[in-house]
Amino acid sequence: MEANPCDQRYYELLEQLQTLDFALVELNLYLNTHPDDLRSIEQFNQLTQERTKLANQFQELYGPLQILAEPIRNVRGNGIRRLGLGRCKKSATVRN
Amino acid sequence: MDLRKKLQYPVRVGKCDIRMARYLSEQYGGADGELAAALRYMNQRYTIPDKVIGVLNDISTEEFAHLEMIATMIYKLTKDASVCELEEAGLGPHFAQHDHALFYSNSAGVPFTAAYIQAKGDPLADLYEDIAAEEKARATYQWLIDMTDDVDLQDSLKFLREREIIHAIRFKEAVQIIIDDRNQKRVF
Repeated sequence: MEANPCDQRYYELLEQLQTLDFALVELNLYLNTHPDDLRSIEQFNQLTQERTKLANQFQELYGPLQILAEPIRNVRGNGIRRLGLGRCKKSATVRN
Repeated sequence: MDLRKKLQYPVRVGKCDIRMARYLSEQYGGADGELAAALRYMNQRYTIPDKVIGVLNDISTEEFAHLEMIATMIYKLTKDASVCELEEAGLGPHFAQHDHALFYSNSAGVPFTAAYIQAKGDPLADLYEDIAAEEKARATYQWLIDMTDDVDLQDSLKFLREREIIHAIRFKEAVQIIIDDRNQKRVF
């Protein structure tokens, strides 16, 4: 799905996601060599939850963030479809 | 692999600049580029001690994200270029082979080769190579930043330069973890 370039919210949410993801990448690298740093583990866990929440919100609005082989919920809520397998023709042709 | 529909850090370019696209190839398919880094770490990862597998695995994954950023830069800088403009910037031979497609070659057009990277099976030898790779990539990013006046491009390149510094720090810590581990075992 292509984002509407006029939709400012799309870019705002994407930037928030990028920011959270970056913090997680950085904490993850740090924890590889500092596995006993409890404060960082705590921060990592907290940001992971925030990230999941934001990603869900984003996907509700703009469709899947990742290319998956698992079932995903159609953005219009009409059931499950599988990306790339074309099993569910009706919902696969839905364009938002 | 995680294929997300976004870059690790935004890539914006202010203008069509084929000359810079050519120089950026150094970080795409060059000896100290992102492809070399990603492939080197992902391969060394298997024989490195368990304690530092994560360091190599996760940094390799991030290098793939950087490869994607460099690809985006090169694509954006050349997509609107005419054949004449490409030739003037020295990309005539590239166009003859690849049209506007990207290719894993360095800034002089030499294709990528696995001879750029090593895997010695010796943890310290591998990690010191990795530290050197990060420092060389950091230096290349500095030269690239100095070669353009495009502030948008400089912003993305500065992000990548900073990441090389962090990666070098993590590799140095990995070296220390292995050395400490060996010293500890000698006591018993």
